[in-house]
Amino acid sequence: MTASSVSGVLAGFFESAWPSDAVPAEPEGLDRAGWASLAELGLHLVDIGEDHGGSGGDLADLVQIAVLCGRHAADLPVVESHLAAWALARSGLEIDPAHAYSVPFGPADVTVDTTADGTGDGTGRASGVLRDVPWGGTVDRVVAVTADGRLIVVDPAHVRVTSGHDLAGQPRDRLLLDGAPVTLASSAVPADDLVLRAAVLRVSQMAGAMQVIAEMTRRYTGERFQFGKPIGTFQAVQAHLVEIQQMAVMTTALAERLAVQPDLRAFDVMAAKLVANENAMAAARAAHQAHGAIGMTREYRLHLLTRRLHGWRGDAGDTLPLAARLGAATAASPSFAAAVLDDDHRPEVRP
Amino acid sequence: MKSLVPTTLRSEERALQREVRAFLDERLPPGAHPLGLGMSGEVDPEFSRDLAARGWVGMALPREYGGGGRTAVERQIVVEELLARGAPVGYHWVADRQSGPSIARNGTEEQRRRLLPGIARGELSFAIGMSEPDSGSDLASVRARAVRHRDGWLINGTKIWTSGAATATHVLGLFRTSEDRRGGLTQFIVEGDAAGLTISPIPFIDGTGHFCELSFDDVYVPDTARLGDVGAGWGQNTGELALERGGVDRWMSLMPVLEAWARSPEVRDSPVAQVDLGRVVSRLWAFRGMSLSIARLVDAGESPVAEAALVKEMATRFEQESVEIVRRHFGRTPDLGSDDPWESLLARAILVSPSWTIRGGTTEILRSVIAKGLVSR
Repeated sequence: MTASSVSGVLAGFFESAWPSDAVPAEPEGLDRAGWASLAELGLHLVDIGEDHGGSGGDLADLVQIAVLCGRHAADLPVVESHLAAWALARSGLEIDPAHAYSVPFGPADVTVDTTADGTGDGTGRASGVLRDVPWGGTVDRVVAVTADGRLIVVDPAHVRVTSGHDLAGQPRDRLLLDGAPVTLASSAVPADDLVLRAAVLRVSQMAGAMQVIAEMTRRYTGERFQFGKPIGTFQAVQAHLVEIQQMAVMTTALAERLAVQPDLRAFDVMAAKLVANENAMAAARAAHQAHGAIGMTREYRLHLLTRRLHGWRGDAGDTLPLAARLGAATAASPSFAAAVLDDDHRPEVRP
Repeated sequence: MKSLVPTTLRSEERALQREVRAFLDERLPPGAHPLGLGMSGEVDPEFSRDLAARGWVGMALPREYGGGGRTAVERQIVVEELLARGAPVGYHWVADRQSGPSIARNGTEEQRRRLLPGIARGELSFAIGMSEPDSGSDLASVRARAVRHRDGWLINGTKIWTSGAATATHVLGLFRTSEDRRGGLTQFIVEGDAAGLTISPIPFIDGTGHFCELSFDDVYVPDTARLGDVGAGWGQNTGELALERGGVDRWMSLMPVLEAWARSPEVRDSPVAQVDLGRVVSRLWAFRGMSLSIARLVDAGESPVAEAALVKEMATRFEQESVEIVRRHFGRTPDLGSDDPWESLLARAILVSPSWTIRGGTTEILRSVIAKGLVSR
């Protein structure tokens, strides 16, 4: 298949799973049937080598999938499962292609006791808390890198789950581990690498959401008549349309730019996430202003997208800490201009 | 609207970047030249000629007319390095960016041979005569008139708010040749010392004198001064505006200020200032990616007018915001007459930055260009 026919098939799958004109109910835990059809296609395993149980493809393919997840407000842990599976593959552990996985977006304050079982064969007992785990209580496994750099695989059946929701109403749980049995990797993927990949995918989802916000705001302001004409013909309203379009085009360009880098540079990913966070706020604000009251209701689709944007802004790099780190790194680097212009001399920074 | 395909510099492009940097390190050591704010850099004909001797003026002009035959991306690489240092680009800027490419596209063979080699040598300097006292954003209302006279034309009227006209060798202007609103406009290239042309500086808000009023009083030009067909001026002018809007110059005015600020004690000792620096550097990094994509589109033969407007509109607003960010951390009001060149430049930026969202198309006009692009999708 050609690249465009693949993206056509993908777009068709997302449209049938999450129709653009629907306002679905908010998920209570994992939709198993939905997950099964997605897992059958292996969409969450793109950019993981087939020799590791992945679907192949590259980061640019994966970014396109994440953009579609954003466009359709997909209510399944596609990105989260990818991150977990990728961490497993990078750490030399098996992936179960049918499993739904997740990862914590909050800190993994967990200690691991490898002597409890006495076997030392890659298992142990873990205690502590995993915070902000999307669908954490209802996926098959949660994968986390602990503060001391170990990769653990947890079965939610063995932990105490405090169910919660993010701002978009999606499951976001807290997992309490009290001597829970875990699988361990002998050499874990660096936590920084996992955060950077998570940031790229969140930027991609935000780009997709902003694309749709731009389209639906354009459509609505073309159909809504006030004072005898479509409100989109008023220059003041057009200014909102322009701003949303700018934010969508810019964020899409950021996601695609990251996708073609030979490897993910921390400065680039963090700068992209910071800009995407700010763009998301601007786009959401302008879209709500242009929509007026209807956009404030749960009967209309806008909230599916703007609420997700609010949530994703905080994941894998919130605005202020990103800006502080990027600013400190730039101040310590020999040239401001090089940070902007020179691919070979970006400031050194850690996520 | 086309998608901005991501791109990075190729190895030979990076080599050019290093080469330009090494040249400028030597030619423009810090403190040895007056700092400029982006495209409003100082007028220094000697610097322009030196740069041209390296092949870095008129880079994108065809080789057969003395140009470099290089790509838009290669030109962007040179421009980036110049603007990052606040280089004195004022003498050759308009010719290099706008008038030269327009003559290459719309000019006769004779005009190309007569003008382009001089542009590429950094010897000719152009100014743009578009605005008039009653014609700013609404260019179709231009009234300065060219009337057929003997074998040529007689030009009468006033052009205003023209940057660099006092030091330019040529003015490329838009004049009315018939009553048809858009179809009655024609471009002419008038020599700066033409009889009947009076160029008077208009003191700019920061006290500089690059801004000018041009008064045409029975200025005779031969027909060989006409650029393009009679009545084709509107379309040619629109094409020029695309060249004027797409580039990195739209978000790099403040670079020398930011370079100094990023390594100043105000930032080094202030976590709050570092947060702001992080915001600024990230957004400029992002704009740079978009400008590079636009340059690649141009090299691919596209004319990304709406994309260029989309970037210019938000980038110029962000430049203004950045001035305020830096100023907020300065701790006192910067002094225009300060011995510290970057303090003086910051003071100038405070005064002139409102012009950044006016020149080359106001925010309001650009929004309407972008909005039209959205409707026609």
